[in-house]
Amino acid sequence: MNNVKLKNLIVNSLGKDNDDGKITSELLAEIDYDFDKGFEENVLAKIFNTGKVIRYEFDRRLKFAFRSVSIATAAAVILLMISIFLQEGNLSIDSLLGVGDGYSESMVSLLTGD
Amino acid sequence: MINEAYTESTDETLVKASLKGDRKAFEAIVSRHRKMVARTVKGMLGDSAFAEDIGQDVFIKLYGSLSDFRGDAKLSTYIQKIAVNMTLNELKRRKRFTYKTESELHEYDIAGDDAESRYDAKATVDRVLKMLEPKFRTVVVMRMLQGYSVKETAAILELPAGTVLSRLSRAQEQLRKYLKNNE
Repeated sequence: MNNVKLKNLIVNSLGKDNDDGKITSELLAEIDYDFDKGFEENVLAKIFNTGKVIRYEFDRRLKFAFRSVSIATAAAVILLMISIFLQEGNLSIDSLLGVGDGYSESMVSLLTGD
Repeated sequence: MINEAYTESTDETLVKASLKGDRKAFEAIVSRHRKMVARTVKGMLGDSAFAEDIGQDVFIKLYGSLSDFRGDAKLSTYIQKIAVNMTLNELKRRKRFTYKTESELHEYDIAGDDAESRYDAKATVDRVLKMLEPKFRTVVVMRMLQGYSVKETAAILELPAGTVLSRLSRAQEQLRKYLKNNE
């Protein structure tokens, strides 16, 4: 294939002329992309000898667990805030700490048991 | 050597067999799709030992996520998505885009294209791909080296078809200009 034809194929491969993939086939007849000999054996050796798959699986499950816990936590916090707001009528620090209606004396007796 | 029974099996059959622990079945999947992955990985990263490692990692990740493959899409599309994501992630992680400016490439051409006998189709394709920014390079590799339609490219890259079309059109313009300047 001469240089001019190759350049035309490169440019035309991006347009509508390549909707049927014929230009790609023509290009691939000239340029061959492949991995080295023994590629399959190397992949299998890495999978079964290095534990990479176990690491991927562990990461995936960890991410899934983290996502699930995050969603549940966010939902619980929202419900708690709504509940506090309905009970106390506001979301002040005292309300969030649960000491909104408390007096210091009753707090001391509550903590000491006297 | 891969058994003939495996080479004639469908992808779905090979996936099921692989999930049951049949290593030869997975080897057949690798053998069937290695060239497709090579076009994506080497098209994006260039032909290097580094690309060879990423190619292996694509299939290792595939093996680790085979149980997630539900068969809604073709296995090749599923593998292609893994290949594109891993290649882009690796490029981001290493921050070593082989992106070159047009002027740098022009200098390379003047130095390296002085004899017809030295002309190499693959080197030309690699050179024009490296000229493109990664976001353009990805759509160009899908279209030029994989022969995917705009719709298929959009599905693999999870982009709107309009974005793919616009990137292809801009990349085509850049390539046309670059190749014209280097005639």
